[in-house]
Amino acid sequence: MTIPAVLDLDSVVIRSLPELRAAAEERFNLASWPTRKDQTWRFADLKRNSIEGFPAPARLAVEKSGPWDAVSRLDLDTALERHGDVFGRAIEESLGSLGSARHLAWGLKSENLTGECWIVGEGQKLDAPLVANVRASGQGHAALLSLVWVKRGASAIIWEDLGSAVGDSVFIVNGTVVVVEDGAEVTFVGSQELSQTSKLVNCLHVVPGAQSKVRDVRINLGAQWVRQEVSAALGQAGADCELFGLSLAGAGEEVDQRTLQAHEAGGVHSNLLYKNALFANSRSVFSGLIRVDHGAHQTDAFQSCRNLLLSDEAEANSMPGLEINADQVRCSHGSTCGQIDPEEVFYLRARGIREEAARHLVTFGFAYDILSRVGNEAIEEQLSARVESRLFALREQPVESGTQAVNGDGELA
Amino acid sequence: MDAVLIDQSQGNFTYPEDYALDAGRGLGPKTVDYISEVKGEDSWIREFRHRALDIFESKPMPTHWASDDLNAIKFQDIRYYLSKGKGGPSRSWDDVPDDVKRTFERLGIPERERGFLAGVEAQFDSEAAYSNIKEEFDKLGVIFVNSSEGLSKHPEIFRKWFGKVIPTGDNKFSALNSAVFSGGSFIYVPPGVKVKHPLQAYFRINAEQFGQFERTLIIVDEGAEVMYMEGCTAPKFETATLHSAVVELVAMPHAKIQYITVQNWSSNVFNLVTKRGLAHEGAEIRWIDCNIGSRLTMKYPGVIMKGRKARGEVISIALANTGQHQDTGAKMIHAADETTSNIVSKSISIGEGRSTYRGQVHIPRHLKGCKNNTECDALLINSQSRTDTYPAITVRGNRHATQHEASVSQVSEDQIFYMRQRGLTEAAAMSLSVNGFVNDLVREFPMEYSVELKRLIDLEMEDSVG
Repeated sequence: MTIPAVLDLDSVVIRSLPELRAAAEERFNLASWPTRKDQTWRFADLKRNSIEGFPAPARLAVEKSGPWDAVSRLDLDTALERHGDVFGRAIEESLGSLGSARHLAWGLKSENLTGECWIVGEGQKLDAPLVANVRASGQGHAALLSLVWVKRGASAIIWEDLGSAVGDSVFIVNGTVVVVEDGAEVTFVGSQELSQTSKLVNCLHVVPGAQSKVRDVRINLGAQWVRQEVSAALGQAGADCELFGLSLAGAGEEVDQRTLQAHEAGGVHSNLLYKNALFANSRSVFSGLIRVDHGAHQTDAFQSCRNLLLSDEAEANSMPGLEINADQVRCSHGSTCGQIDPEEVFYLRARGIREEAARHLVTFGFAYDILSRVGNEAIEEQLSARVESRLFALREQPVESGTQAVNGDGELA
Repeated sequence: MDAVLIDQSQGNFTYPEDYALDAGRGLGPKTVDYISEVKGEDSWIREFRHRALDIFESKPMPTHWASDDLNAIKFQDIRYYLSKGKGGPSRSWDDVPDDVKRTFERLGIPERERGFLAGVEAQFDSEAAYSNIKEEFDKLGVIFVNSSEGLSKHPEIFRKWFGKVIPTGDNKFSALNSAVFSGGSFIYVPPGVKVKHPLQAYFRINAEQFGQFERTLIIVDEGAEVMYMEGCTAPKFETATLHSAVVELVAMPHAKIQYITVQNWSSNVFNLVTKRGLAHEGAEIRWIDCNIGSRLTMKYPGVIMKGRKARGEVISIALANTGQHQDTGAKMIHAADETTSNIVSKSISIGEGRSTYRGQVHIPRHLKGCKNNTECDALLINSQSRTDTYPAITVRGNRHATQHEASVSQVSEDQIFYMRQRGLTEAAAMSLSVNGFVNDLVREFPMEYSVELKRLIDLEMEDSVG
């Protein structure tokens, strides 16, 4: 593959895979690893994001199910050649812009980059979800880039599920761009259950068109470290964008979530709800910014982060943020941290349910709130089963004595 | 929408400069020596100042998170110490120099004194020009002096806590203050004494390019209570001035401190203040803060809840007009079981003004029963008005409950229409709405302050409608 001699990063139109790789190489060289002063890495445990220990390439195998025949599929090179104007800007400017630019560039320049472009045609309404099971294996790194284009009036549900075998250690860089045209509807579910020694950098950028409905649901059930960045460029009036996230973190794990609802023009509705359930000594970081640009009136933007702390060693950091430069708007955010309500546990115990089971039920209820937003029974059922087994596995992990029930006064019950 | 023309005329006057003592422009070891010399300080204080100067010089400006406008401060052009040098502060109003008296009369100080206040310490540039404490408090053992007097006459009380709540190296501006501090109030309330009347201080910057660096330390012993109020104003000058104060509060077990500030610096002042309280078991510290003036205010009152069941609270109102940036917030550090904290912040942005909330709530591991509630609400009046909210909440452990909520909105058109239908002008309706928005918090201020606040807000609102 040839790398162009001169690369002008200011006027970026990426027209081929080699150009994408060259731009990534350039960006990798210009950027630096995060330090304590970086506001985009505030509260993150900076020891975790190192790429060392994953020098070799890992294998990524993709198994698809669902109405993929109805969808137009292009390899990355062809997609960029034909539709560079659709995706180029998003790849260059938005992916990785919330802090993981260098990690993303490392992935995109790697020899081990795979990915596809999926185009759902105009007016096409798919009746079943498009499922892509991505399995990583081996010890090393891999990168995945998915470009999704849902054309005018179309509707689709896409589920990308990332997994690896228990013994494997992989570092995955996963970038996704979802462009949705006017009047289209798309639900994108991104779940991962990587092994306990794996790491994931997951960058997603959505661009909803006018009068479109876009929903993204992120489910984190594995990996030692996840850096998740979700951004939405909300510049077309009438769009409705919902961002959901659920993370269940266990011993030694960290979930680092950064989101951006960028209201570039008026008349858009966005809503974000992220829930984290933290077991053992896990930690989570949530930084969500709602930015309303000058003149973006009639904006409705909401954001909510709920943290359920299930052990005395767990830690939740929340930084919900607002930057508002227009006045005819309604924007609010909220964040809570708490424990399982002892009254709810008492209610269940009074009906003969053992305490452990009661706590499991309450935690499952907390998680199911997000699963129920997918809007597709088949996916919800499968994810519920996965969440249940994950909760069972997390219960069996060594926990501190602080997980005992406490009464209303905070005393051990 | 035209920006509001702020009526600063009440504070916009100055007297010819006639200072006996002047440290000159710029900051260096000689400035520190000059200040220490003039005050006749013990050597430990001079060393404290020099160490602080080194720390100040070694720290960078925090522009990686704070406003770039900080770079407009020219440290070498500022004068760090100015005084009339007429001995210590006068004890009665009659002893105060005439021109100083005139300044304070225009600002209404004597009226306040005649009211229900216990004592007034008014600061004119660097030294307290006038101080008067009611005899009953002298009998109770309440000490209310300026910082120099506190450290020289009562070291056994104040030295213990001086620089402990806010260490010199906490940030660049606490280091600056520790190097050149002058003036400010040192207060000690003995155990069980509940000071019925609020103690008050008033600060004034007169000279051009003058910085003000007062240092306040309030120690309230077991079971005692005190309310302290401060208001500030300065005349308008072409070049920027700097106000960098440090306020340390210590509430011993079951003590209660309420610290009320109304800040109305003119729009050329950089107001960078570090305020923190240490609350022991069962104690309560409340910061009630109103920021209306200045070019850039950076102030995050904090409470470290060190003892069981301690309580911290920050009530904050900020109003930012064109050319102003109110960057305020709160820091609540929980360090004991069953501590609770509450933050309520309301901000109003008018014209091109920008108001920012920065908060930190920290609950470490192995504690139980801690609670925090934070509400920040912002009101945007014009289409170019700006507001930001940047809270950071860290909770470890599963025995706590925190909740944070923030919202941004504008004055409801329905509300305005309703009022106009009943005969109010649009300006009056806006004024009423805005006052209603902050009404809950304004009621926390003592009555005469709340009246003045309402008036100040009305003034700011004039001509901003549309």
